[in-house]
Amino acid sequence: MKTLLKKTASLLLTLLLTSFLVFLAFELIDGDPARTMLGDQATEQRVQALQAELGLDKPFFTRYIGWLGGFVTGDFGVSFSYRQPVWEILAPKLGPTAVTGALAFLLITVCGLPLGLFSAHWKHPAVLAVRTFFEQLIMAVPPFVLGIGLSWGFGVVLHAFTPGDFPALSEDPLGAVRYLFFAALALAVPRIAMTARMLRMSVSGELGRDYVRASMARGATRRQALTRHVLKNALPATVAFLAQTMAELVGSGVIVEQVFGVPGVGRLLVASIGNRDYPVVCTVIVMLAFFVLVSGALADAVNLMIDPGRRGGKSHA
Amino acid sequence: MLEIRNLRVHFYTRPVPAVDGIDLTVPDGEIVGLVGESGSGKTVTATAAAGLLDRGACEVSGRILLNGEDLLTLPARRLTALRGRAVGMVFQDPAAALDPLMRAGKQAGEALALHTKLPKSERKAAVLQAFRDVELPDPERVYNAYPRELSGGMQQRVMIASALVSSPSLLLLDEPTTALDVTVQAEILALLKRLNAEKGISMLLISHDLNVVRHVAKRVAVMQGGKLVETGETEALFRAPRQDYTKRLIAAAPKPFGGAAGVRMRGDAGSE
Amino acid sequence: MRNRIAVRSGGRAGRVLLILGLVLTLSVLLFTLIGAFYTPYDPTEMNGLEKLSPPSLSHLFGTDKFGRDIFSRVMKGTLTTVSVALFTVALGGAAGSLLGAVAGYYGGAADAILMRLSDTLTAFPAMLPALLIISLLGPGKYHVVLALSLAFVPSFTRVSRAAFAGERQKPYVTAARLQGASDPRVLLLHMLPNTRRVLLPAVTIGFSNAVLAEAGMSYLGIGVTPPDASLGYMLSEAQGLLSAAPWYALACGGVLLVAVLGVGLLGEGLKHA
Repeated sequence: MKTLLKKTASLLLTLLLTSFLVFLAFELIDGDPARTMLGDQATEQRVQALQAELGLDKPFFTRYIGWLGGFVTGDFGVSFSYRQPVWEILAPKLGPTAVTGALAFLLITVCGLPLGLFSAHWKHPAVLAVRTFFEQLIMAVPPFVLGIGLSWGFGVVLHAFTPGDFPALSEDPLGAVRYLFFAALALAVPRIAMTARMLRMSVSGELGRDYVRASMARGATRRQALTRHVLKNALPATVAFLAQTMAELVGSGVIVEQVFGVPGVGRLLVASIGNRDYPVVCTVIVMLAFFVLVSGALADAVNLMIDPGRRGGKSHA
Repeated sequence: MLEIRNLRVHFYTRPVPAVDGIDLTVPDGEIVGLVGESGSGKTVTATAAAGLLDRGACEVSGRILLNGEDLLTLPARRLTALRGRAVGMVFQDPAAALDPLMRAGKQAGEALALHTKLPKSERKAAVLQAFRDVELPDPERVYNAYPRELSGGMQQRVMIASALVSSPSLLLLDEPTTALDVTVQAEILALLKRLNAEKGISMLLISHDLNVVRHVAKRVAVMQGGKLVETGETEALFRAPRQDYTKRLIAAAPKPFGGAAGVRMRGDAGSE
Repeated sequence: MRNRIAVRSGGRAGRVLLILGLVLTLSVLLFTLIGAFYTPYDPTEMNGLEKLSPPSLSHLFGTDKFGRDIFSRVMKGTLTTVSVALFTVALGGAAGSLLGAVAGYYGGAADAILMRLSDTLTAFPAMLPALLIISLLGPGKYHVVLALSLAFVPSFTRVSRAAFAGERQKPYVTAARLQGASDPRVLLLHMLPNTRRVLLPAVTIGFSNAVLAEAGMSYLGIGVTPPDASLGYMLSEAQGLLSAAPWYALACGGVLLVAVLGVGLLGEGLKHA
């Protein structure tokens, strides 16, 4: 219980620190967004008027506190380029991104984990070399390149979907999910190989330990030793790895959304970076960062339940 | 009783056989010591005697007879059953040999869970009895403890209990005291001696430390480079070693009751 | 931790993979190096007569919609991508390894704070801080190098810190210090060679991550921008021509794949060798 409280406190602190750093970064580089927005020709009055409108005339900490307060209550400010509340722009983008991410994560766990367990049995050196080669090959496929390949193969050639013509989630949920499946597949494939590899390495690492021999000396078969002891011991590393996977999906998802023309958070982020629309960029980055931190903290909590006296605190894949 | 006849184990990845044609007998109710330096093939011998060799990784010939049954030709199912009932094994490092995520009691009762149809309550009773047999204080608490909550000596007692719980006729002890403090070493050795005397369990005690073997084993076999170089009654062998290798082993070992001094010397070596 | 057999057979497989990785990596580097001085055609020269021609002997990878030779453009693009990745790994790796080495060697409060910070930062995919920095700096190849090296510092710090902290306990370090070797001497001459088994694979992983990140950012149009050629930017061009000239995407994607696979195998081989 005490560890849980400590972890929660540290999570909150990290979230606060992250948001502050992002806010500070934008402050340092773009000291005067009002002028940037209006261009060089703008008169001083107009700039000042806009500064007042956007609340930029107040001191830094006041603005940070105000922004943070807004963030917590769901008020993320006003987009520079759309002149609309950030939330109104962001909200419709969340669905496609969440569906893509969830589909990819599902594919990764459903394919990667069994593959990892299955490939742990292979021992012949030649098989090992071939397996490692293919593993590295699949891991080397950049998701966005695979995405281009998939949209060519399944889109242009097979007509399984029309690249660039995304059916709205609310109007045609099935069609939308089918469309997003290909984006998820592009995201998942290299990660499936990584997951299989990670699980195999941690399982074979555990299989070499004395407690496995001891259990077999008590009359367990290799399979029984695996299910009774090894899997549970390999679990913490796996959970930590899957949390890292969720984080990585955020990163590569930004690019893959662009490949498939999915109107998601990633595309919004890229467009806003291009437009220097800082309130949107800031909100999206802080939100993604929160997602990453929270999934990491959840993984820690799960591991704490598996192994209450965690050896050396955190474990990383 | 255990009879090893002309056992040869050759791992495919090694140039020379790990065990090269040894004959060794552990008569009923006796403790036999097996000594030698690391890499001499002691542990491989014990692993083979426990039926734990990975047959896909090595070539094995010879016979390992346990109460008349040859472990090397036994079908896999019979072998697993035999491991759970007739042989128990204790490892060097109890902290590594215990699954860190399973409570001590459940681990100690694993052989019963796998090979008997006893209800849970009776299994627990058997484990608690085994805990008392190995002189663990507060067996109830140990039963529900995770391995890391126990001291090294207690962990090793749990390991011994987990081997005893199915009343085996043979215990294979692979350096059972090496990872422990000197005082705990003496306690564990005394415990093994008592279990041997009271229950008549035969034991194969493997150690690199001649003093450990000297105080417990009735007979000793000396192993070097996969071969047995000398066997005999312990006291006779210590008094009049025939082989140079045995003489050197005896000369190199710390004097009896000088165990503590030996440990301190090893500690000093780090700063040389 | 793993049993001896697995390690042994891993060694043999490791050698094969190491050689394969070396061959692939060296070919990519050679390709890059040649591209720096020579390309079969001027990569920017347009040719209205040969638009979108498929691969042939005169144009190995065909031509794009302006009739430019794709092979020459891929050479230039690889040059940009590989050099951006090399600089990123050199800068980020050097800074991170140094920070980690100092933290691991001296320990103490600075070490604790640094490690907490890099623990938190490595939880983020490198893409996130890189996008943040690039959004502040604006696109361009120097900005990409800066953004990516900064984004990669924490992971290098962590790896190097763990390696040096592990080595610090070993007797040879104490011995060297007792002989009066200065701290930089101990770190560089004695400890650095012993951490290579951990640091080198980290460098290869960093390199492939940098290649992917650069290509990704340039694909998005916020990385390396024209007139500089980049595999990522070319891929975004190629995507629009998928039905007319699929070989364009294949060529760019293929080179990226080979580059990442090569160093991946190299890293895997180094781990076992």
